[in-house]
Amino acid sequence: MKKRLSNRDWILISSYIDGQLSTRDTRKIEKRLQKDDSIKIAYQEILQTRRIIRSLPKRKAPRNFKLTPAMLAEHKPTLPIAFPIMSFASAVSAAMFILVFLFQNMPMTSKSMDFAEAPAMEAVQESNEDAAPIILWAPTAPGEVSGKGGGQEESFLAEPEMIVRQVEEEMDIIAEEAPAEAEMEVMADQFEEEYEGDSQEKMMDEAFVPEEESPPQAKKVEVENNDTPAILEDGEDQILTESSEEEINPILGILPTESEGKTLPPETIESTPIRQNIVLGWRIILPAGLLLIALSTGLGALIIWKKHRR
Amino acid sequence: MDESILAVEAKNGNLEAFNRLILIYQDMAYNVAFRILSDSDAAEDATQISFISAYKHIKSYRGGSFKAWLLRIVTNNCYDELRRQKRHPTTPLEPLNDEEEVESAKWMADKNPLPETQIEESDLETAIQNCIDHLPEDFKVVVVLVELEGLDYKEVAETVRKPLGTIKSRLARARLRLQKCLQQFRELLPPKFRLDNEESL
Repeated sequence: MKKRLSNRDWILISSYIDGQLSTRDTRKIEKRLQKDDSIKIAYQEILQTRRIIRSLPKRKAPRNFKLTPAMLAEHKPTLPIAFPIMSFASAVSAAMFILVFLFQNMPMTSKSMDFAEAPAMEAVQESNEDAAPIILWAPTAPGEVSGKGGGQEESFLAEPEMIVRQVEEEMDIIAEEAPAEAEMEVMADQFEEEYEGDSQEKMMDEAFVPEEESPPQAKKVEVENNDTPAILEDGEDQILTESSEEEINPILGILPTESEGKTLPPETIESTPIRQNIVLGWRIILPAGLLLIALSTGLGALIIWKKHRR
Repeated sequence: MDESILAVEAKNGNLEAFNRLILIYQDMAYNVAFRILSDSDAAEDATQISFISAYKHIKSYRGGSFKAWLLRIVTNNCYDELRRQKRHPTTPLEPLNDEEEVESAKWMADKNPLPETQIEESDLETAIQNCIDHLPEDFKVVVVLVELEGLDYKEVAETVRKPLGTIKSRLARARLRLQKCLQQFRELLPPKFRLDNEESL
């Protein structure tokens, strides 16, 4: 009965027929051929198969395959112009993505990004903790922009620490230059007396009462020099100079212009959405966009190449 | 002239030297392509493309057996053609021979040979080629290179870039499959190819 041979046996027999075995393996297989009938039959079968396959006639080339310069020119691959463009775009955007990714993850860069946000947030936190009212002030000199913080968001973003210092310094100036509470009361009394006297004279002369210019609940104080800033007290009263309506700006550039002359609760102070958008764009949208461009153009180039390969 | 000298000259851009190499190897290249693809037109195309590709990439030839290097290009082109045929299978709408009757055309017949067809099959070459065609691609290439072109195992390993053990294994398994396949065509085999034990069956 024919014994089932292993794959190794078949490989040994096949290699033995082709004379590709080592001397040691050749001796081994020859000994088995003499003793084992299954090996002998398998050997004869493979030998027979080999003879049959080798009996196939060799086909001759039907023509001459010699090359000519024209044939070599004809077979130049003609890829569409989109292929190099897409390949280049893919490579450039991939390189840019890597650069941006590395730059974002460098220790120095990530610290500077944190630093840009930290002072402003600290200032906000401080104001929240103290629950201090927002102070609006008039320009310190005619023609000068008041506050130096409002309306210049870019400089605020670029140099937040400097702006915080400016705010602190100006707060000190305000504290020094602003008259004391007692002095203010005296000045207010004087103003009322003068105003009553003037108004009586004016009523006599022209019967003119500037009701619109004096809000009913606001106490208007005329100060000898206009340098004194306006101070909001207790969240209700305000003292404004005449020129403050046009040039006043909020501290830190946070308050909108409509809120001039009003005290805002600390909860309304928020980080600007523009800054958040910039950070979001820098951190996520830019690398994601670059990656998307690199992948899409690369895929397009691959498809074009596959289509025109043959 | 020695083929290594011709190869060096071809590397330097001498097309005439390369054409002399083509004349030496074109029969072998065509025969390998024909046995792998089993189609004369496809084999012709594959051979021509292989020579063009070989000339364009002659710089990658770094000595050694030029035959093995050239056959690697030929077999790779045959692999590509076989894959292309699998992706885009085609069936001729008209019989290849004018004498062939449409009703009994070979192209209409089922590929699986029926017993009657096997008996009627008189062409041994067709039978052997049929068995080779049914081998896996990797086995087919090894069989063609060893059995038909007479390359030794090392040259085949260099051509298909596989270890020697892989070549031995593939060849043994291919021979086993061919043996089983050829048993279907036992009647076609001439007496010299029949085993004694088969005749007694």
